[in-house]
Amino acid sequence: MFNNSKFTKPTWLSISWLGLMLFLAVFGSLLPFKSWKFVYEDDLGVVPFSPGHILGTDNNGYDLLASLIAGTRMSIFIAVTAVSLGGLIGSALGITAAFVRGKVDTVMSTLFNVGLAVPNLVLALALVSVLATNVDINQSVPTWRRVMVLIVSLTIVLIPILGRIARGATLSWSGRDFVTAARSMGMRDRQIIMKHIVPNVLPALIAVAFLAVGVVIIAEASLSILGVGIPDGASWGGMIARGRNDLEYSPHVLYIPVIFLAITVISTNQIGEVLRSKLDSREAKV
Amino acid sequence: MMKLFTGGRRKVVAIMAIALVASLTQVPTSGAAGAGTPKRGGNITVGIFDSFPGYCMADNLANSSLMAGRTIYETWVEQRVDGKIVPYLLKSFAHSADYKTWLLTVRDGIKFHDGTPVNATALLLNIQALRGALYINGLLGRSPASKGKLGTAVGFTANIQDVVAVGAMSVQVTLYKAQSDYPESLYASGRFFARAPSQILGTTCSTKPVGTGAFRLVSTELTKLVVEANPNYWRKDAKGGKLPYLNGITFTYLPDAQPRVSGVKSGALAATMFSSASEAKQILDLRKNKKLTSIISPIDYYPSIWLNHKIAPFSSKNARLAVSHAMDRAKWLKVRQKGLGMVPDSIVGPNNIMYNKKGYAGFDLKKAKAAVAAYKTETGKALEFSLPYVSASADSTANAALLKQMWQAAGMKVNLLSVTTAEAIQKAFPMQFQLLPLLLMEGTGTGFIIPFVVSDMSGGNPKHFITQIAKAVPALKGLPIYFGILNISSFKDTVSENLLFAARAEPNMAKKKKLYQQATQRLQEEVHMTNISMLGYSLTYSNLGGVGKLPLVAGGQRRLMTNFGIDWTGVWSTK
Amino acid sequence: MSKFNFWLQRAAQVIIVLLIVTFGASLLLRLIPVDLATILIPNGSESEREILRNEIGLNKGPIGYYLQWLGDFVQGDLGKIYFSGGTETVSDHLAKAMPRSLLLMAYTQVFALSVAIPLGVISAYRAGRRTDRIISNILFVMASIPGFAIALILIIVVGVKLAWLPTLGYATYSEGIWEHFKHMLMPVLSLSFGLIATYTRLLRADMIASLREDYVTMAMSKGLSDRRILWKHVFRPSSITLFTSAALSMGGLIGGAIVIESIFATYGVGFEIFAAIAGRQYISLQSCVAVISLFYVFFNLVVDIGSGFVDPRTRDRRANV
Repeated sequence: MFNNSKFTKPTWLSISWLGLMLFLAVFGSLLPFKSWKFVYEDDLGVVPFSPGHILGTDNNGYDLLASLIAGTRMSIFIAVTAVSLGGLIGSALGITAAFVRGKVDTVMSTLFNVGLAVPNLVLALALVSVLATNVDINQSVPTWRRVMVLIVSLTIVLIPILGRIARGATLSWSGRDFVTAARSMGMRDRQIIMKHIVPNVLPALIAVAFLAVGVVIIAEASLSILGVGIPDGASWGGMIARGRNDLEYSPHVLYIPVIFLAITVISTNQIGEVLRSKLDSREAKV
Repeated sequence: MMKLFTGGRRKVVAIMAIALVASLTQVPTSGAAGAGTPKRGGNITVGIFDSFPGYCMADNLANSSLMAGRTIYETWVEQRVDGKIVPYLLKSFAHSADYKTWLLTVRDGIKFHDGTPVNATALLLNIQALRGALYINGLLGRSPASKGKLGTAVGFTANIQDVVAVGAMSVQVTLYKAQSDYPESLYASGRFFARAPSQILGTTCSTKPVGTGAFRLVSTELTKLVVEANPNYWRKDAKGGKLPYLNGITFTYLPDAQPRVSGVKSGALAATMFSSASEAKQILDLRKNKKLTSIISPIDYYPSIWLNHKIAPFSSKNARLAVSHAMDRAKWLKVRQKGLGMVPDSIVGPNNIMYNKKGYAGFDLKKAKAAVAAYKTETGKALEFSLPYVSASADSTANAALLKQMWQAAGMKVNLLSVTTAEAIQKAFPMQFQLLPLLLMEGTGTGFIIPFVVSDMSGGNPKHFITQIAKAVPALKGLPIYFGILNISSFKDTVSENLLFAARAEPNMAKKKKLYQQATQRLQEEVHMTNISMLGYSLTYSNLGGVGKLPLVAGGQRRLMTNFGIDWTGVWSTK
Repeated sequence: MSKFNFWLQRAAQVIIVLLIVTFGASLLLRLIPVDLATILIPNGSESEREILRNEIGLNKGPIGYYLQWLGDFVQGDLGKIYFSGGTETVSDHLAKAMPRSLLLMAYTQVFALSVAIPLGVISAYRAGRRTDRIISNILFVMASIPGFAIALILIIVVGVKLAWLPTLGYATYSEGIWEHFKHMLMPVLSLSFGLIATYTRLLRADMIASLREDYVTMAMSKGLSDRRILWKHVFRPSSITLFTSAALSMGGLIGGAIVIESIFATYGVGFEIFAAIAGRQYISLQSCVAVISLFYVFFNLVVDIGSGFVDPRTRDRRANV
């Protein structure tokens, strides 16, 4: 689809970085590290490049490299899952709405507007805090359920955003001649959507999805900072939240996850932007 | 229904903390002590780590907000640096030969901020209010909604059988069981204030504190208390001059340590308090700062882990042993306290009269694993429980994570249970958690400890007025208004209880100590509760003079620094 | 379609959206599997809880509860915050918090625009050259760094290491203008980084398009100075998009500042929301979310109508999407 063009150096760097993150997310647990929660009681808050701790430790005695690798897995997992789900549901709704038009479209658009009427983070915050309430006080919310709640909440936040983009793109394509032609040839709606709309809308959605991954990573970190993330789990946001109280004494505990997070977001944005500009130029040629 | 004495976020957040060995000192550790002549005037801001839930009997100010509250309020008795309780707003207290009747006489000429005199009527009303009398029978104009809203003070006053005024300035307290250290109960670690009758009886009891203190209320909200000098304050300085020196103080709630540190460093805060529970790093750093003065309390605070005997798994002694043996207290000290403090070897610290190492289930991974296995054989189930913690706090989260890890290492399954502070306190009385870390034991004496560890096997105080009323009011049926009302672990133990009551009654100090130590041993052998650390509190300030200089009226000094900070009456600003 | 009808339709849409948002928020509360009264006043007695349930309509069905909440909300009663010493009203809290958030937003906008406009003009003027490329790359990175990261780094460097600025809190004008700005500076910087990038890129793109217009070529051929052409003929028409986008971001700023407000404890609306969640004060949460949505939707509407006045093309474009 985009293979006929050469990527610039920043783009290659971004791709490599994301590749590295993906590798850590998938194979990080196979690397020869102790559990990130292992407490090095004699090395509390040591600075980076200390013997045995390349990135240092935090004040709980957790090794930061091990935390970072475990955090990459969690942050990337949450982001990729939420964006995939949000993209899938959002584009299904958006494409349907735009293609069917009429009442369905009105209802969908209103619902999208409702979702967009609440600022993203407020919506996610409200959803997480309500969904993660435990019924029985001695029954704590297990970590896996907290992760699920986070993913579901972020997905709900993404649906109207991606849905609206899918709808917009579909609208602009469904008016084109070849769709009209296909219809007059007696093609069924489902076939038209699958054959003509989806392939054309997909690239735009993929470009946006890269940007959305960045947004979700930041959102997850924000939720952790606000204390509604995954409390004793490893994620970049969780690391930042843990390090906040000690920023005066061990700033590296904050710098390291912040830098990782920022580079990752820069990379996803770079790739998203590149894809989008390629699309735009393709559009222009059409 | 109940509220905890030790409310406030930090007490629960700071549930586990550690003592400071180096901190036994009572002398300012660094910087200029601000000697010289007092200077009048000035307004200062003080950073604290507890909020202000209110000022009525059932609203409990904790630690640093208690310090703020004590600028408005004073107590009937005070504690000297050697631990002895001496009269303060009282002129004197005297007891009968059997230690069952105590005569309390109020000092003359003291007035509340509203101009009304401090006399027998006021003292009587205060004691009755603490007992819950005004609330239960509703005779004194309380709204129906307030009915049954009892403070923890009810547990602290459970031994009182009757209280009457005898003359204009004296009140006689009759006790159910003899107690030779009753004044300690009247002090309740600085919490039993003299509140003006107008506050107690009015509708703004929670929001408008009226006391006798050197400062009076300007405004208060959940996160802030502003006070100004009381122009008619009763105490005078050494030269007979008026007190206090400061014009006003603003106490600001800053839950995170970092802003308190930068505040006091930049001078925006004249003083700020820290708890060594989770702020050891900050305390250590500030002690090194030449421009600031840091004082630290003795290690007289013994945060406990309460184990609910009513429900599984801690109805089993094996489970309790497992939990206690699995806690690597030395590691905790290193990791959470940066090595500042010491490893506890009793449920109270070495300064306490109850201190006894015998029977204490200290760290022993082998024994812990054996107990876990024994529990499995006993019940057929794996040992599993939930640990409540405050997820909004990074410290509480880190504490919980480390505890969980230690218990898991011994083969237990631990779930983290996110709660708010208010929920934790609500569910502590009566205890609904399986286990709860909560700082409730403190000091050198037992006045503040006994209410939490007596088990009420004796059937309580049958002549307590609530017992009588409870027979008639269906809603109060089953309310445990006996000694055991504050027993969070909900354990039943005749042996320890008899020892504790015998110790309380015993006037001979050596014998008393022995009895208390036997009780401690029993409590430790049965693991009715355990602990992971002991802790102290610190205050860091700059440009202040007179800290800890003003003597008590009965002679001697108050403790320089406690969990409720310092006495602000004799403090001046050198700016 | 007449203009009047169009606005009427927009207004109706807005009201429907708001009703659904607030109903959704109130329904969300009812989904909590625990008794709400117990959560709100954990220390209260059963009779107090019963009174509370009656008072805020928890004993009614979801719709009855919502209608009661809506009725109260419209009359300015936003519910209460409960703690063991009593209650405080949400409206009191918001009355204090709202001006702080609005000021924070206003400063952020002014700061972001005053940096973005010169940057945008320069990079459009030098489009494709080195200056432009450098600015664009820096801005791209800026846009990608989350505000909280900037906030934390600022605290470490400016607040703690250099000790130039207070790291938290809010100072009113009465505490001194200088104090006030000292407290505001770091939150404003943290919030405006992303905005500066967005605005600059927007302005640059728009100005480059304008530069290609015929009237600019004309002006150039007349021998007008570059500066005059840039500001008068290019910047002015291009600025409409910029200000529209700025206005649109206003609503988002109120809520988006939650993390920044909680990091700096500025006690604005975002902080109120954070406090409501941390203390499980769900009634306060519901009302705060409603207020924020109200602002957000209101700003969008105003911008819509406003930009319709200024440039009918914008309105039509919006109407189509």
